Amino acid sequence: MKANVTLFCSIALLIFFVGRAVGKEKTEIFFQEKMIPLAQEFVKRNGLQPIDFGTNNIKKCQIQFFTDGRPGCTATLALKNGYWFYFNSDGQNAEVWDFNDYTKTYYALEGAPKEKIDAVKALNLRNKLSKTSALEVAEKFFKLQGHKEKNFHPAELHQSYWSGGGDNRGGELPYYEITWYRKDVKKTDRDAGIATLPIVIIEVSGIDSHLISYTKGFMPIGKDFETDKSK
Amino acid sequence: MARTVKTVRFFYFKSQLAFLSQSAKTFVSSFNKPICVALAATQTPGKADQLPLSRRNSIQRMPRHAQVGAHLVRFVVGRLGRLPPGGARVCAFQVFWRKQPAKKKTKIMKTIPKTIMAGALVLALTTNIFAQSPPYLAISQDSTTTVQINWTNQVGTTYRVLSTSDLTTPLSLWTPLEDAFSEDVTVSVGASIAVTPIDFFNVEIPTNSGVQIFSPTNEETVSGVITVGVGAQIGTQIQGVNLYLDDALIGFIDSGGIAFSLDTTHFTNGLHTLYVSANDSGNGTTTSDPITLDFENPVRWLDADSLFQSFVPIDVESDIFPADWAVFVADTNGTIVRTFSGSTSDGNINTNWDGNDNDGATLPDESAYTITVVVTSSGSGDSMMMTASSLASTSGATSVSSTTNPHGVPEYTVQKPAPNPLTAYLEILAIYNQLTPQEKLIYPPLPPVPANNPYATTLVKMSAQDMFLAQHQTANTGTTPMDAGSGGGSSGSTSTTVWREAAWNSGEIVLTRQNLNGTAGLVYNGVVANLFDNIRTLVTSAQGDIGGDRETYEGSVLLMQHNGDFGQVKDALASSSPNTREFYFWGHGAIDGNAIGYREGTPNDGIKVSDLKPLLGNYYLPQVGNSSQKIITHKPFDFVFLDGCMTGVGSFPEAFGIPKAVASSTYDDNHKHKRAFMGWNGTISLSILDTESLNWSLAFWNTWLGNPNSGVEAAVIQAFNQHPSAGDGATIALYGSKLLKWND
Repeated sequence: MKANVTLFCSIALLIFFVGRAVGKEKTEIFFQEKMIPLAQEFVKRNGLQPIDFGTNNIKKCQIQFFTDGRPGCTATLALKNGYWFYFNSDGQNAEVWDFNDYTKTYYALEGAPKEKIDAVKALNLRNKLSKTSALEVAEKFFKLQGHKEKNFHPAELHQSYWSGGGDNRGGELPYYEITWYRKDVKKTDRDAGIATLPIVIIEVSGIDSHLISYTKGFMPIGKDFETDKSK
Repeated sequence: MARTVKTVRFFYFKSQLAFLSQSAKTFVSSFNKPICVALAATQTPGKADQLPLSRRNSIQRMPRHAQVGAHLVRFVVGRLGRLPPGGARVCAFQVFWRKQPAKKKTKIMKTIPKTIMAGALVLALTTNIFAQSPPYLAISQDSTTTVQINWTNQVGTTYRVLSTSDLTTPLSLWTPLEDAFSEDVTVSVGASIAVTPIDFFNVEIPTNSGVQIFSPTNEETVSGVITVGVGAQIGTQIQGVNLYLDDALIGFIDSGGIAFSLDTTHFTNGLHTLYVSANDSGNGTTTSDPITLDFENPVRWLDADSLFQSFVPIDVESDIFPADWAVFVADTNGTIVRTFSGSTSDGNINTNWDGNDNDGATLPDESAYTITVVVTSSGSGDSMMMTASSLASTSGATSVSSTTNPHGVPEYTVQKPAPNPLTAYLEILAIYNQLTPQEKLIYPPLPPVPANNPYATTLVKMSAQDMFLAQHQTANTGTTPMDAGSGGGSSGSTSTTVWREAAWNSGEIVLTRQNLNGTAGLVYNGVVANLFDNIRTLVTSAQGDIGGDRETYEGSVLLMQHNGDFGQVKDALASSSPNTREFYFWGHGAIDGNAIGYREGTPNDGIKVSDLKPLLGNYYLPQVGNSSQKIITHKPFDFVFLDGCMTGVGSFPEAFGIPKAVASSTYDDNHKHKRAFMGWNGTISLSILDTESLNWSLAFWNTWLGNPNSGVEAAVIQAFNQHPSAGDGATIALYGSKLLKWND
């Protein structure tokens, strides 16, 4: 009996450590073979500030394999320069589904000192984009992520803003937020506030036309529709 | 653009004060000393002072209580009786006055009585005119070099203020001072007074439609900081004016003067297109013709920051090289708190300011700092300090002493030769002698003759920046004088004002969970408590990233189980100190979506929408018939997530000031505080076999608080990627801004 117990414990420990090792290896593989190359490629593709993805520049990394039987995982990677990547994987394919940098694109300035309001107002002095040209810049990034305009409703553009000020009218900021809903999204669903609609949101800077954030939601990995062959 | 104008004109003598106010009574009482007044009318604006007295309709003296002639004030008021062809209306008000020496009192009193009777009529008429025909005018001198020109405003119209020191100058050549519009009843415009002893001001009110840039003029070459003067008259009330440079919106004004200050050193040299557009109350937009300007600055600071937290990059390009440069940082009092310098051989200056003063102390945040970069040709040595002997030998200073201010920055006192006071007096006397007898009557009395002192000296305070400039001016003898932002020459400068941002501020979050009863409580209360502990930790961690008062209300999770608990949560939601602006609730939701937290079996208690609306003062009235929708908010929330069944279907969004029917774009378009509401449009399940809804909630908070730059929609997406089955029985409803971030 004692021997059986010992054997059982040994096997259990073996399974535990092997499991951990396999899990660790799986995590390491996904990090090295998927996350880093995808992030590097994303940076390059979108003309972002080049950054060394060495360990010293990584602020946070988290990989969560699905626990409900599905293959794949989600993962986040935060760099010390403020870049933040979110990855989605179905086990075979993976891609960046969310990216943002540290740019603050909204200021709540109710009750703020005049000098602070002036400083935020002055951001617009550096704006080099009109709404038309901002949309062109955003459409460039939209296509760079592999999306096709024909699969989406027309883009909706809003210029970022700050709220408050002496007259509580706020003002505009040199950043633009552009949203694309997929073609199959109904207006009634949008009006109902349903948050699980296929969507792409891109923010661009009017200061240097760089990509501030990219969000993709409720679409298959690598394409706009399941029926799409590939992006 | 052709302009027809209504002209309001007045002039005054320097160092004096004049009023033309809403009524004669106000006018008189606005002086605290007795005055005499003469009034006259003319049909020729700008010529009133040249008309013989006989042609003036009247000249009058003020009532007895205002007659004692210590002061003399004369109004010349003109108004056309009929509108001339073309509809132009011309109206001229001219005002000047002088302080009269007491010994001349009798003489003046003898001069003026001839017009007393007629004057009384005109005064009454004038009073009536003023009462019925705004704008009303007032002018006051607020310093030795500036005056304030005030008038009663016709709301939504624009005005242009011009000045000249010589009334014979054609109006088209008068110098524009300011273009203004305002929704205020009284408009005040400050104007610098020229060096000349007399200035005339002219206020024009365009009566034709259009938006126009008055200054600078098309194809002008500009440098440094320029003022873009705009006039707008668009029929309906002006809401604001946008300024565009190369099609990019770079400025917006919605009150006061329509004069944009534009620092051209922050843009590339060369041609730029400038235009403005005025927005009116009918949501119409009127755009001006564009003008092309040639920016020419020897020193440029492209993309200068205006906000910072830890350091400010300073990347300046200079056409002057090799060159010495110096950076001067001044606080809001104008005190220089930091200086540093260097040299460049190729015109590229790449440095930064670390936010510290000269002593290495960290300067306060939530404050503005002006950074000025001065570049001059090399050739004056390395030291910013200049010895007394060297400065004296090059600039004529007799002595120089220096001290350091509390920030370790040197400040200098320089003793320099001063002009002989007798020389200045003789210059004034020469002007006085050129005046006509009538002008002499109203000219300020000459000061006493000063003593002859050819060795007069004066003490001049010099900042470190002044000293740097003086040093290079004297060292680069024969070069162009220092002129900030000027084109050409051997020096130039650029500056920017930056705000040192404190941690981003918003409100605290109220974390509330329902304590379940019975077996469910035994199974889940601990699990849910763990979820909330995790969220509270995430809140603290996120605050570490963004700062500000973004902690959890009272640092604890409020339980809702007994009736008394509901009051505690309501107090937390209504709290202004600390300011609570976010709310997360986990627990039961009523079937109609209008109550949360009720105890099982007692669905009529808990926190109800009907209680919250008056408590928070947030109401939403939908559009009915011709009545437009109305949003009334006294305490709207940034973010609310009611994590319970049916919480997205009732009127909680409206109660928290985030109405369902108000699209995110409405907040965007009106620049209102961003906000978002989340709730479930159905029943969410919780069982031993299905804890996905709890897992989903934690995943959401993990993402949203884990990255304070992440939008709320992105956090929803990522939570569903991890736990898709959480939405099997219900969908999440998200109202308001999908891009709301925790650091907002």
